[in-house]
Amino acid sequence: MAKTKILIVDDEENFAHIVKINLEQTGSFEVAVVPEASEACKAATVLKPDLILLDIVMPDKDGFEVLKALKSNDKTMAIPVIMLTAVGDDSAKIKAAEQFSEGYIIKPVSTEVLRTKIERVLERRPS
Amino acid sequence: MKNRPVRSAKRKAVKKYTPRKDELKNLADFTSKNPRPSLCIGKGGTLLYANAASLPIISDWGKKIGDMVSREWGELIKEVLVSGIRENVEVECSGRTYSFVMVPVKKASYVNMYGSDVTERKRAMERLTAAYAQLQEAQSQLVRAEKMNVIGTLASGIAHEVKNPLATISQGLEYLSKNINSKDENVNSILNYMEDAVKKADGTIRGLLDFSRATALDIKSENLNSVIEESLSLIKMQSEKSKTTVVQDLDKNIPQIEIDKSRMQQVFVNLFLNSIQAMPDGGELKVKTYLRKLVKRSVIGVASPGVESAIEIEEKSIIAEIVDTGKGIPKGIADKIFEPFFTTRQGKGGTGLGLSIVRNILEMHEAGIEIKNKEGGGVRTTVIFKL
Ligand SMILES: Nc1ncnc2c1ncn2[C@@H]1O[C@H](COP(=O)(O)OP(=O)(O)OP(=O)(O)O)[C@@H](O)[C@H]1O
Ligand SMILES: [Mg+2]
Repeated sequence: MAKTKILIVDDEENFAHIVKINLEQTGSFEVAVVPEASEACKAATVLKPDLILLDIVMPDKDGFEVLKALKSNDKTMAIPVIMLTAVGDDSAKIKAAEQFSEGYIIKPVSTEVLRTKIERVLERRPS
Repeated sequence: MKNRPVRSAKRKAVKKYTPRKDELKNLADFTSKNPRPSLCIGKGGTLLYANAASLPIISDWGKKIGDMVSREWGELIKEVLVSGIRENVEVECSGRTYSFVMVPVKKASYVNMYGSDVTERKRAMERLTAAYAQLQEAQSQLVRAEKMNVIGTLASGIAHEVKNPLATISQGLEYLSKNINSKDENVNSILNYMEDAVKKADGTIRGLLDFSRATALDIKSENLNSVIEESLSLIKMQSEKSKTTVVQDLDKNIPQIEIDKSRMQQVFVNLFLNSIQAMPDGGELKVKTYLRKLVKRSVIGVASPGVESAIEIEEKSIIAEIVDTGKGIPKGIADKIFEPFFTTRQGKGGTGLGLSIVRNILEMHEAGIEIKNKEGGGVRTTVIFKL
């Protein structure tokens, strides 16, 4: 079975790399990491991931802007996006949902939970 | 020294003055016509003199001139005569208050009492005291609100800065736990300790955010009993694990109330958990709801001295009572339990934010709470919702 391709957009590089290692160790994922928000859209178009894990607070551009750009681009709008962030406010959750993100996970998170949520979101996706 | 009175020989020579009869009568009238009450009581407690203005007072005592005053008064008179020091006393009579200065006249062995009506002054004073207390309360609420604002901003800033490194540590620990194949048992237990520490820190941050969250309430008309039942089902795991028997005594007839359901669940979950944690070897957690009617008499003014017109207000409130059979609140900490970060469960996962969150949410609902040790052990928590 082909591995699920994940793109992580997060300025916390250390975090993103360990998540990559943990997810890949499960054997079902192939993970790419982009630490700059401004590179996210380009990376998504080139890599064509099955799902994007997107941070919110990043220095160059905030996650909501990236989300908007992804969801308004023909080439990337079908890719499900799960927000993976330290921000837990209801207002941020609502904003993410309003901008058509497919999920919301608050850091810290275990690989098991992460994996389950990714699989749930992908199951929902129309093939 | 200038202006020093000098005894002159002339003065010595002045003849002794004898008042005329009419002058004497005027002098006597002077006291009896005084609109302020004056009394004279002898050493043995006999009422020697009372002017016209003091007649209502002595008739209120059921006395007339020549009678013995009450034992308390008699003792006071003796004291003042022995000490020779003036004393101020307040006397209540027909709804009015008089302040008397008791002046001992030692030589003659009686005490003169000069009074004045201080009713209005006293009422004004009481109103002032009440207003001052209200002001103080309002001010402390303001200070608390301001503190909450600061804490809110600080908390969300800290949360973000702390949660990111925690996330990295927990993901790292997870990898290490799975991939270190060490024969040293310490390695595994240390990794476990570290994971627990990360969870604890994350819990603190989450509590702090909850505590400081200033978001508006989502108020709807709710049934308090269902809120309580749902909160109980949320803590089912903990209560079963600690062998706590849950007893419900919920009054079906209580009316709906306007509350934010999920915040109110947070209140009850915190209170239930505190009780369960106070009963590590099991016990009983009793939850009761009922409607309380309080008839409150309120004085609305004084029609005439001594006749108060009052209105009666019926105050209804819904009470939720939580009673546990735990170890109770340790001596000397009762006034601290609502403070943020105050906990006696350090090292056992206590952040000390539970009750501060509870108080915050209840204050936003204008509801009250009282947590007290119960006679015979355990704690009774009363939550009061005014209707
Ligand atoms: N039902 C109870 N019986 C005995 N002690 C109590 C009870 N409820 C509260 N306390 C005391 O009040 C303290 C403060 O309670 P609070 O809920 O604020 O914090 P905590 O329970 O220690 O921590 P946390 O709520 O974060 O788990 C407790 O540590 C405990 O000492
Ligand atoms: Mg608690």
